[in-house]
Amino acid sequence: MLNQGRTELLNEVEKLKSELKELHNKYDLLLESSASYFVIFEESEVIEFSPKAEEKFVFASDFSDKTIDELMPIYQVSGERSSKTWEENFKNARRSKSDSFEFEFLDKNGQSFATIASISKVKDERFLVHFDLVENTENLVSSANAITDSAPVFIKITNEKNEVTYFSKGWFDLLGSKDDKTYSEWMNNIHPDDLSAYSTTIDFSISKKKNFEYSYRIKDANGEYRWLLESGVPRYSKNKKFIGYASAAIDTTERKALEVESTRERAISESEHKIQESLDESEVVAMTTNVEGSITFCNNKLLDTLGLKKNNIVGSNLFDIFIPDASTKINQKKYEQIAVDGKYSGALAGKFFTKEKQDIYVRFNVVLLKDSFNEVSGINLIGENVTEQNKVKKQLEKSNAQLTELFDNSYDLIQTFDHDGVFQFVNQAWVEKLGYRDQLKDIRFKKLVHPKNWEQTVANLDKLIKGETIDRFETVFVSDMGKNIFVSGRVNCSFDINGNAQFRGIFYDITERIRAEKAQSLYYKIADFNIEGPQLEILYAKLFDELQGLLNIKNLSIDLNFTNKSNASAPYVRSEFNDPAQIENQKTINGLIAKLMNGETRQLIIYEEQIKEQVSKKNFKGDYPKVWLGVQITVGNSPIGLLSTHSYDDRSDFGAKDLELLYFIASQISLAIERKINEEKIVDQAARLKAIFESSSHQIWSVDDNYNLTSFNINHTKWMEDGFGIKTIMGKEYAKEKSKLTDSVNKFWEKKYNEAFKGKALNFQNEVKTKNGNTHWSEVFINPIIKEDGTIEEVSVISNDITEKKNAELALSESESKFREIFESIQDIYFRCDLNGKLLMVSPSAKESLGLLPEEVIGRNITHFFTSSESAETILRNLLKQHKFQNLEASFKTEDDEKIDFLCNVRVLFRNKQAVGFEGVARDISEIKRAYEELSKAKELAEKSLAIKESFLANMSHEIRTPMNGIIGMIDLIGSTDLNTEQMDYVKTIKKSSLTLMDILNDILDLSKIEAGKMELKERPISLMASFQRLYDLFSKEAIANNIYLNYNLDTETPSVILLDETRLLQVLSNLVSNAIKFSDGKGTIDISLMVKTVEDKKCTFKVQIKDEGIGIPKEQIKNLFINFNQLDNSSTKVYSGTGLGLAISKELVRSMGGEIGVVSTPGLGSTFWFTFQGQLLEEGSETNGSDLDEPMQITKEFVSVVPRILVVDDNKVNRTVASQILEKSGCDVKLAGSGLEAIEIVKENTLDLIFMDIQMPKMDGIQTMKNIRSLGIKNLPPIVAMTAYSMEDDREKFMSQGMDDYVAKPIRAVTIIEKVKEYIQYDSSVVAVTEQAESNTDLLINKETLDQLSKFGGPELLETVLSDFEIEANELIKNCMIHFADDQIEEIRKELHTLKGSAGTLGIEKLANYVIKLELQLKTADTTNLKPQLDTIQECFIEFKENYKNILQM
Amino acid sequence: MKKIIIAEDSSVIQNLTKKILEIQNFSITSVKNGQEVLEKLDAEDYDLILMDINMPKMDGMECAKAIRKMTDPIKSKIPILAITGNAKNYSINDFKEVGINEYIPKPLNFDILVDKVKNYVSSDD
Repeated sequence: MLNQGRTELLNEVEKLKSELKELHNKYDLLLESSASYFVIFEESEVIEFSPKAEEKFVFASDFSDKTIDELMPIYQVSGERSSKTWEENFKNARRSKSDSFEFEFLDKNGQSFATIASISKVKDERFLVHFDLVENTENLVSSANAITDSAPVFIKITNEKNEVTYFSKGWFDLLGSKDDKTYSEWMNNIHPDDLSAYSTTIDFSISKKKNFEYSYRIKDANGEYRWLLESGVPRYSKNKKFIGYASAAIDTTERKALEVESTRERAISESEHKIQESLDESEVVAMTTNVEGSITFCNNKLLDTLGLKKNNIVGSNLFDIFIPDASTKINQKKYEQIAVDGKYSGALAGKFFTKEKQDIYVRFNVVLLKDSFNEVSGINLIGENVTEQNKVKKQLEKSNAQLTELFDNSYDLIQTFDHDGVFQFVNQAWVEKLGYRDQLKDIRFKKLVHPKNWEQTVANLDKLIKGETIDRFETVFVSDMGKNIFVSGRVNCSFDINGNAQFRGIFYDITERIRAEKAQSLYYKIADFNIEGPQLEILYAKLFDELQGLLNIKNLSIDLNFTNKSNASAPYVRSEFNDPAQIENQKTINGLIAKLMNGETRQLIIYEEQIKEQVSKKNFKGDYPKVWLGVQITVGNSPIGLLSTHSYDDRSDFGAKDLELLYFIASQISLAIERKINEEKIVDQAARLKAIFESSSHQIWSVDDNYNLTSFNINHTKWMEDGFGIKTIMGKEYAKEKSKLTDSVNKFWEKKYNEAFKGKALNFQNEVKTKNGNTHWSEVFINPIIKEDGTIEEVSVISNDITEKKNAELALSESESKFREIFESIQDIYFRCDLNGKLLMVSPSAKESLGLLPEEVIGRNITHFFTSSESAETILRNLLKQHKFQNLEASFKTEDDEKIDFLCNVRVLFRNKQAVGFEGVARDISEIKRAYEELSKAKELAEKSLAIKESFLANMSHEIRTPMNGIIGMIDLIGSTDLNTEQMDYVKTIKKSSLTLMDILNDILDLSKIEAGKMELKERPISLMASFQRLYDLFSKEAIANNIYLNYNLDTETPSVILLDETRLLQVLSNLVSNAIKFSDGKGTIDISLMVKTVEDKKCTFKVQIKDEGIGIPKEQIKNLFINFNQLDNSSTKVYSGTGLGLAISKELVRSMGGEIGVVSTPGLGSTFWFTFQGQLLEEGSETNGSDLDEPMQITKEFVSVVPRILVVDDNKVNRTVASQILEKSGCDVKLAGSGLEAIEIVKENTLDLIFMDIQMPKMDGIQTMKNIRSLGIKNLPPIVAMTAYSMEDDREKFMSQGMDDYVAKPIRAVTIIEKVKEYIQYDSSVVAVTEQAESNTDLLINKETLDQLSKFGGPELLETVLSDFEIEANELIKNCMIHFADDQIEEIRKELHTLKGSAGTLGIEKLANYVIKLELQLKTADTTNLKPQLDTIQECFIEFKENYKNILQM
Repeated sequence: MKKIIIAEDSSVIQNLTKKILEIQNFSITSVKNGQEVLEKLDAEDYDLILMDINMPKMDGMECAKAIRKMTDPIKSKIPILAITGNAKNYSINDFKEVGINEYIPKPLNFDILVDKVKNYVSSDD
């Protein structure tokens, strides 16, 4: 409440102060004005007229507002110059106050009138223009003008630069010009002889600011020179600035002319007189005194004003009737001195007493009159009546008094003092606060201001003098009691008429505020220190420093006993003393007083008398503090020390407020100490924990509920870095790094963390895969970190790498279980004994083998169960010597007295290199023994029977082969005779049957060879592609005939060349394919596929599958499939032909090719036979098997140009006939021999190209005959080719090694034998006769199905177009083939064929397509065998198509 | 109507294919070799190319390569179906390498051909 009241009051005062200031300014100006015309305006708006001015400007009707512009004539008489003058002066006024200047205004009638005006700033944008009327003049100018113009002197006013600013009228008359130029050019009129001297005089005077007098000649309007005597007086502005000269000149031409008479003195007196005359006419008040002050002249105006007559006043002393005012500081004596000094500066102000005893205030300017010796002869006083102004001033003083009264009632410290620091006024509050009651007149402002603040204060005062304002003037005063009073307020500055500064200051006491501010800043600083957490010592020192800034504190003591040790420590003591004895005393008394504060007293302020009272008993001899303050320092609620201070100077040094301050500081110290204690505790604890945290081999980390790391140890960092490339970073980043782990790992951990966040402590083992793929095991403990309030924000994880342990465990358990499994499932009996043979362990298998439970056995001696041929002792002895033995036969006698044979492996067990027992395994070998015995019997039998079988088969085959030779040979011959169709058919059948018979025979032979282990593979480089094509060719017709689709497919990876016995491969394939056809029952598809299984070490393993959709094979019969002579259907009415040897042979053949054979079958759905075989990989391009053409049935005349001469030697006539017929039909010249001797004779007599030699002949066999022939020594002996029914392949080698050139097997086949001839005879293929295909082709001319498909898409009319297109195209292609053939362009032929193949195939022209396909395939390997005949065939086929397709379309 | 080029040196297959596909509502342009394919393609846009591999002047493989190298982004991506007896035993990978999308073996099965063509270009019916 009080504060609020005070604030209001302060505001009030502030307002008053500002009003006062305005008032001051305004009225100060008024006072300084010499006329009562003034106008106050703000911006351009006139806001106040003085009454006189109002009269001048304002009509009764429009007294309200006017603008300054309205007061001014549009054009000043003096033109632009005046307009500028206003602006210039106005500008000056903004800064301080304008000089007086001449100016015209417009009165209310619109008449202009001249004034001397000046503009002053009232405040802010408010200005006052004050002016004196220049009356009685028409246009111009100053009041001086009025005087001078009519005066016989030439008055001239110059500025500080000696530029003329004013000429009196006389000057213009003299110079005869009145324009502006006159001002700048008048000096041109000065006589050249005088000009430089004049200028020098003026310059000198200006520089010294002295009066001058000079006589010179000047040209007048008539061009005549006139003498002028000019005297000048320097002019000064109010603030004593030099502003130029006012000078008066008189025309001394006449006097100069009357040189003799005229004296200077007279001239002067004359001029004096003239001046006085003119002054009499003037409105100014003026008088002249002599140097003593005796009045010699008084002008009319002054006389009027004073109401006196001239004679009343002339002669009396000035100071009798005139009292100068205080500021003028002049008296009669001083006045007399003016004449002596020859100078007087400033105005002479004072008052006269009029008749009516009224005071007339006057201000005079002093003009010294000088005689011809240039000595002052008199003093002219020219001035004005300022009585009215003084009245205003008086009024103001009165209001000042009132204000003073107000000030005295104010709490503010109000004072005025001049610039010497002399106090003119202080208010009541000031005295009360600062004292100096009786010394006020003697002290100066400087004494009041605290020395520290003096400099700043003076600077501020200087600013005020310069017109600046200071919003808040702050300084520190010192009271007469030496107390510092902080004050803040406002100081105004004004100037008296002498331009001396006057300061008015209104301050209010802000000591308390400063103290409060300082205390607050202290609080902040201390709190800051505390936050910074410095060492306590530093804190104490800072506390003291800060306190010093606030209190007059010299002593401070901080005592602590918080450690509860008997000795209280004093960590901080500051003392004003230097003397140790004094300090000791101080400590003692301090300690004594401190003891006064028992536990309950938190703070204490105690004064000297109380101290004396309380501690006097203690016999203390030192000084007692005047006042003592102490505050407990507490931690928690217990006191741990004391903060105290005291003063020996003044009891008022500290008060209750300071106690509060100390209390605060003590509490801060408490905090600091408490924190220190806690910090130490924490540091200890943290260090301990950190040691545990980091030294552990465990990974430790914790996460918050976002699974972000909140702490982790080095082990964890290392683990994450090394194991997963994850950087462990506190906080969020960890979440980003999680992407380096798999989702499942993250999910796993999140699940675990979540459980822990539910408050569960977890312990589990975890298997981890690191980025390197290593597996680690860790034992993990996750514990929730439960806060005091029971919340869980983090969980901690401890993880220990137990990989090794775990691996060991796993390995152990694995080996254990492995061992256990073995132990429990072992068929043999495992046993373990001590060295005496006592059984310690036996496997459960003992029960099975011996019918003994382990418990029946364990503990008993092993010899109880087993007996051996050797004694137990011997066995044991040997065992210990050799450490183990194997295959010891022992037997066990069962309860039924049955003997079971066992084979034992036993070894000694060592523990720490000491034999501790033995263990062994016993195997029941009774069955094996029995089987072995049976086996050896069977083997003997088998070996015996196999030998019989082999020789039987070998003999039988030979015996059968010989007649077969005849049969087949004759069939060939019959076939080459002219037969009708029916006969040909029969012959074919016979041939087929005999070939079949031969096949069977060959099979039997093969089998016997295989069984005898005599089968050898004849490996040659072959193309599997060609082989399969051959297979396809062999069976496709048969398949089609049986309404079966036959497909084959080769793996794309199939090597082009491979080392293999193609014959054997084809044998197996043919066997399986023919079976498949046989058992397909005239329907379905047979798919043959070849797959490459592995390629290793240049060895390739293939798998072939032959899949049919036939009758299938029942499961129970499958196992019999591959057994000799076993056809599944054993019934007498066999549906399926065959020896039943095929699969058995295939099995053996496959085995010999490094493969296996097998079948998968579902009865009714079909079978898939498969086999594997191996082949050696070869370089590409190796020569391979060509495709053998089907054997033509008819023998053609192959040899035309050359007739080979051939001898056939055979004892068998049929054979001879067959061979000779075949050869002759092919174009050979054949000779025959029935025996070796016969042959020798023929060889001797004939030139031959080739000899076919039978081996088995009576008397002289083929070998012998050959040898005999060779011994004949015949030149160019023809090659001798053996012919034999010993058709085993290895016979060939035997015959060759004996000297034969070659070998053909019987029965002789036409193709074989003709080919053989071709081999040895120079043979030209170009003469090959047209070969006719013996067998009719089963391929369709046009496949109707394909045509149907086409017509489905394109309609029947399309077919005809397309086929006729084909006809044209095929014709062209085949023609090209023939041309290319003639040019031997094999590749070109192939290309043509390729196109033909595509078209023919697409259109279903199968027969043609097949031939083309075959030939194209052959040509791919650049094999040109039978190229021409094939091309011919193709052409025939095409012709056939051409003749028939239209008919077929009709169908 | 979708536009298909048939490149085939056999006029039989060419005409046949053309007719069958025309019935299926495609617009067919027949050419005899790869070079002609490129010429046609330069002049106009097509939706599919049926291409024999074995052709005079420029074979199908070369032609496919050339098409895939064309600067026009649409033309260079035109689907190519090879129709071939595959005399040179190219593998599917060989075809893919030169940019042939698929291959239909000769002898042509027109069920398959029509299916495949429609697979790549749906006719405007």
